[in-house]
Amino acid sequence: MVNLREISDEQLVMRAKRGDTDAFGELVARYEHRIFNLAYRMMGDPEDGADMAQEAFLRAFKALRGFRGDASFSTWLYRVASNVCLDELRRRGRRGEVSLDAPLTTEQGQLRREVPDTAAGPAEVVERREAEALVHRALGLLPDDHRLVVLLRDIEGLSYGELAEALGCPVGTVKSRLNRARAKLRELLLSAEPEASRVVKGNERGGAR
Amino acid sequence: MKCRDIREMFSPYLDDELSQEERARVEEHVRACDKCAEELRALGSVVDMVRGMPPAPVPQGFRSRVMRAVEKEARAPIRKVLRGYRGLAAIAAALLLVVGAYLTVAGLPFPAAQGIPESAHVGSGEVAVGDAGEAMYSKVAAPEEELAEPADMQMAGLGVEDVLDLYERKVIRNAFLRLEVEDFDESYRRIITIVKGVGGYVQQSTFRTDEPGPEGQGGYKSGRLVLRVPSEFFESAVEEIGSLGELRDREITGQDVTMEYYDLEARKRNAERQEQRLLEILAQAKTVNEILQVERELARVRGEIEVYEGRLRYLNNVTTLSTITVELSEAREEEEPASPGLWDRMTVAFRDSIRAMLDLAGRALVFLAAAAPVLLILAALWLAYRRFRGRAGA
Repeated sequence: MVNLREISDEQLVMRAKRGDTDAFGELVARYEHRIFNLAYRMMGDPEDGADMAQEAFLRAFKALRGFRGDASFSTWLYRVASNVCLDELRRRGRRGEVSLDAPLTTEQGQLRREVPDTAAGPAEVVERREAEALVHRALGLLPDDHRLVVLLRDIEGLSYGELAEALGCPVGTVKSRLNRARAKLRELLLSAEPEASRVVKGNERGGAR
Repeated sequence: MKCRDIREMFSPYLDDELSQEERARVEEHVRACDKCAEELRALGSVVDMVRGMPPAPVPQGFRSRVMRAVEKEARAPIRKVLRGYRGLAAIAAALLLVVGAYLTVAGLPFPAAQGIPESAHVGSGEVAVGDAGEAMYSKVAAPEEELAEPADMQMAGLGVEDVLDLYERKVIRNAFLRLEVEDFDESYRRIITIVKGVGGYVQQSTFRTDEPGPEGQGGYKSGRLVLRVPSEFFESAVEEIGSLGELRDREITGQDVTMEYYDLEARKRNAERQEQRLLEILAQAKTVNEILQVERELARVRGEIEVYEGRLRYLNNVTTLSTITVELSEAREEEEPASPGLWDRMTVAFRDSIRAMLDLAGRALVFLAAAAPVLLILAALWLAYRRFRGRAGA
């Protein structure tokens, strides 16, 4: 018996292609954390994120035979997961579903849906949560493809070459898209900061509708 | 260099994806341009903020959920393909149905008299004889539907088949066997015993003995026997005789003449009634002319009756007694070849090889032809599967 934990992704992929679900299970164990975080930040919600991450693994399993190892397995898996998330977001966009983080337009102008954070903790944690919530929200306001490139780069740590493979576009496009996405994010964070901190600290509005 | 061009490079700069030269250019510019320096700093802090986001923990039970879905997928890949290609599956199913229907009609084993109580076959035994017999049987049986049902049989729910079963089935059955035996005389005796044992007889037999060879070998006997056995013992007799030697050929045919038989009977009855009427008329005939006319008619009717009776007798004979034709030949011992020369052996071997190759090629072609429909279906399914997979991978 081979210890699945000790063999490379490529060997696991070969085994999984032959229908070895244990080998695929090991791949899931290796990548669930990364894929879940990508899906979570893409979808803006942990439950949706888990659903999409599951769908991504399932789709990867089905398409495994088509994976010829031109790119590394991780890059390919990111690509599958990205497509799963983008597809779902596009589907929802058509159906007009509202994400928690999408701006809501009312007669008083743009409102932002807020979810009250009731979890108490030390100040440090609160501060970290505050920053995280801020960035999370700002990310949610980016166009889907911009959010994706930022997540793949700054959360998942892909190189530009890997980004190009995962996104299926030339490196030049990756560069400019990432640049624009970050510039947009900077704008959003600077403009959102006061309001966002107020909401998290004060919480007096108790979750605007 | 313009600020805009430099700012284009901020992201790669922060990601350390710039060449040495480009790096230097960016750094040189931000030293001189406060605005761009501020922009770069802000962008850097944004990147830091994103990278500083704590990773979210994977929800409890996520992996087992995924693996359950994966296992399910792994177990049912074919169902999945079929689901994706319902149309194709439907076509394949329809094709199978057509092929199946054709084979059934063409006479694969399927007794037409299925589900009929055994007691209905009074003395006629099994109708099904074997593959060939059934083939003939079902073909012959097809026009049964044209048979007029007797009025008293036209009860609700009684189809032609049911009605026929109230008659005794009349089936002519023939078997042809070609046997290679070790000892002709012994086999002949045993065949006679078998036939006598079931109350049959030998209708005809012919023999032939080969001229003995120069060294006394040869002198093989061969012959042909035509046997008649009661039809209820037909199968067992065929089986027993077939096991006496090496069976080289076996052909069994069956012909259902039930319809013809009862049709003849009815005509015969009609003719007899006509005869009766004519006899009555004859008794009342007054003039010679009348008598002559009636007698001429009577002669015609009687001739008809005789024809019917002859045919009925024949049918009775051939249906109650089945015919088994056996061709017997003695197995030849391996003949010692008169030690042919090397050249002869070589030419023979060469010819044999060529023949074997041609034979093999022929067989391969036949096999290919036979497999073609199956291969077509398989190819279609394979293509469908490939497309399905390709789509999933996209």
